Amino acid sequence: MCSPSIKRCLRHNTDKGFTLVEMAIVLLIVALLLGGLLPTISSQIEQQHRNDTRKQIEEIRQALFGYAIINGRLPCPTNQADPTNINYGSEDPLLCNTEGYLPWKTLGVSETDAWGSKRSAMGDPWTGYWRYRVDRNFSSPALFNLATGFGSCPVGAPASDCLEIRDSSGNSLTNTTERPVVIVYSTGPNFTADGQNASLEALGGIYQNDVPNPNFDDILIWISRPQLFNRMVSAGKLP
Amino acid sequence: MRTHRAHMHSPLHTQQRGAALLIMLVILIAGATAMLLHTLNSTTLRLERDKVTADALAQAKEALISYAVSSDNSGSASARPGNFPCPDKHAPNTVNYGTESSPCSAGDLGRVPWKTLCIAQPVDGSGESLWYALSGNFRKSASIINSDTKGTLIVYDGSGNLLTPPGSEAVAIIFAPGNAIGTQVRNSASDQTSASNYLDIGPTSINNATVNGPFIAASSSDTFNDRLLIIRTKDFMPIVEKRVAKEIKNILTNYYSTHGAYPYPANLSVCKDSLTCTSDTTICRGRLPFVAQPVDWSGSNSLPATGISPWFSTNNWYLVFYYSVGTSRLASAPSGCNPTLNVSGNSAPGLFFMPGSPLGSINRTYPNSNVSWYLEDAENQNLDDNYVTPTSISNDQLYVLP
Repeated sequence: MCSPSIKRCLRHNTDKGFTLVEMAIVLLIVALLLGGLLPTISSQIEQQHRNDTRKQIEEIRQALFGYAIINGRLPCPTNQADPTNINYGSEDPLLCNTEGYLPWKTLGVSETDAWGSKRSAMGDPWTGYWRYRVDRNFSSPALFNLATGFGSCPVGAPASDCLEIRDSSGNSLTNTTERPVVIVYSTGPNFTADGQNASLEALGGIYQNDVPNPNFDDILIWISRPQLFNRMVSAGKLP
Repeated sequence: MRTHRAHMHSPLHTQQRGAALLIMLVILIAGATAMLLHTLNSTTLRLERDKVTADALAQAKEALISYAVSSDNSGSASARPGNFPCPDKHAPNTVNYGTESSPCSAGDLGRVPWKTLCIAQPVDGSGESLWYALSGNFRKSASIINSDTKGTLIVYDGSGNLLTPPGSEAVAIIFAPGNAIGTQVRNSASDQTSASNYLDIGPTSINNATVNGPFIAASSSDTFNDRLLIIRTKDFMPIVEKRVAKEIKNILTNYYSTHGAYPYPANLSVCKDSLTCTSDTTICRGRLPFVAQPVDWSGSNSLPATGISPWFSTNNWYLVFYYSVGTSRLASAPSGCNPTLNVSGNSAPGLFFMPGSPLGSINRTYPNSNVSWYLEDAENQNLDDNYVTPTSISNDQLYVLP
C-alpha cells in the first residue's frame, strides 16, 4: 500500500510509533490504575445505592405521615401483580392485616429501592419493591385516635398485629408497651428478605433490623405511635 | 551534561521517547492523587461523622417531643401531655437497655431511652448511644405540667455565656458523647453507666456529667467533644397546647349546643384552684371555669366533664386559658360587655387563648389578673372586647368559638 515510496512510508511509521516495551508499560500503568479504582468505584456505587435507598425510605416515612394526616389512618399494603390492573400499586383494603408491598401509587413515592427494577408484566419478579406492614388498628377503615392502642399482645390477640423488631442476635429492639405502628423495608442488594424478615407471622409480627452484615442487608424503618400522634396533633387532625 | 550533549548531537536522538518523563509524571500524578484522596477522605469522614451526629440528635429530639405530645397513652396512669421519659441508666447489652429508668431525680443523666420511645437506637458519629438529661419539672413525678411549667436546666457556651436565658431554660438536653477522651474508660458495665466516662468537662470547668447541671456546649477540642441539643418549652408546648385547646373547644361547643349558652368565665383575680375557679355571672372575660354556670359541665359537677381527659383538671390546665364570650352567647348580659367580640376586624361570638410558655422571667402565680403574663399583644391585654390575631411577637394561640 505504501509503494512506490514504500521505504519512506515505512520509515515514517517507525519514527512515529511506540515500541512494544513502551506500550506494555503504558498498558501496565493503565491496568494498575484501573485495578486500583475498580473496587473503589463498585463500593462507591453500592454505597450510593444504599444512600439513595435510605433517602427514598425517609421520603416514604414522610409520605406515610402525610397520608395519615389527610386520611386519619394509614394505607393498607398491596400485592396486585398485574401491572395493567387499575389497582396496581394502590392499597388493597383486604390486606390490612398482613405484610405486602408498599402501595407506592397511593402514597406517590418511588416504586422500588435503588437496586430494584420496575415490573412490566404479570410474571415479573418483585425485585427491589418495598415491603410493608401496618398494624391493623391503624389502617382499618375505622380511623384511629389518641386512645388507639395495641390490644393484648403478643399472641392470640386479633386486635393488633403486635409488631416487634429484633437485631441479628435475636435481641428485641422494641418493648411490649410501645410497638411499631408501621414497618417499611428494602430487601437490599440481594433482593431477598433476610433473617426474621423472611418469615411472616400473622400475629406478633417479628421483623429484623441491624447494620449490614454477611447475613443481613435489608434496610428497615418503623414509625412509632408517638411519632404518628405528634404529627397528627401538630397538623390539627387529632384529637 | 556530557551525555546529554552527546545525545543531542547523536543521529539516534529520535529514539529518545521521554520514558523517564512519563514515569515521573505517573509518580507525580499518583502521589498527588494519594494526597488529595487522603485530605478529602479525612475531611469527608469528619463531615460524615458530624452529619451522623446531627441527624441522631435531631431524631432523638423529635422522638422525645413526640413522646411528650402524645403522652397519656403510654400505659402509665400518671402520664399526661408534656411529660418526658426518664433517662435510661441500664448498661448496654442488658435486657432493659434502652428502657427508661423510672422514677428519676431532677436533672438525672442517662441514655436516651430509645426502646421506650420506640425508635432505632440513636448513635452519634463515633457509634456512641446518645445521652440525655431531663428537667425535674417535666418528669412523670412532677405534680403539674401545663403552659406555666418552665424548664430548669441551664447551659453555657464555651466562653461562659448563657445559652438558656430566662424563659428559654432547657427542658431536656441530648448529648452526643463522641469518642472517649482523657481518662474516660468504657469497658465494663459500671464504666458504661457512669456519665463521666461519656460526658466531658468544658473549658470553664463545667462538667456535663453533673446531675441537674449546669451544662456546657463548647466547641470541639482535645479535652471536650460533647455535642448538645437543647429541648425548650417552645419546641413542644405549642403542640401540647394545640391538643389541649382542641379538646376544650369540643367541650365548649358541646356545652353551647346543649345549653344554648357558653359558661360564664371565672374571675381572674379570684380563680386559683378548683375551689375558686367558678363561673362568675357578672363577667364576660376571665379564665375557664372549673365549676360552670348557668349549668355545670355535663355529667359531673365540675371538670373533668364527659369527653375530657382526666389530666386536664389534675394539671390545672383551666388556669392558663384566657376566655371571653360576647353577651349574645351568654345566658345574661354582664355590664361592660358587647354582644360579640371583634377579632382583627372580624366578629366572633367567643374565643379563648392558649397563652404559650411564660416569656422571660415571668412566673405565673395564682390568683392574678395580669393578662400581660399570658398574652403578648397589647390589644389582647386590655380587657375589652377587641382582640387581634396573635402577631409574631406573641406565642399565643387564638381559638374562636362558633
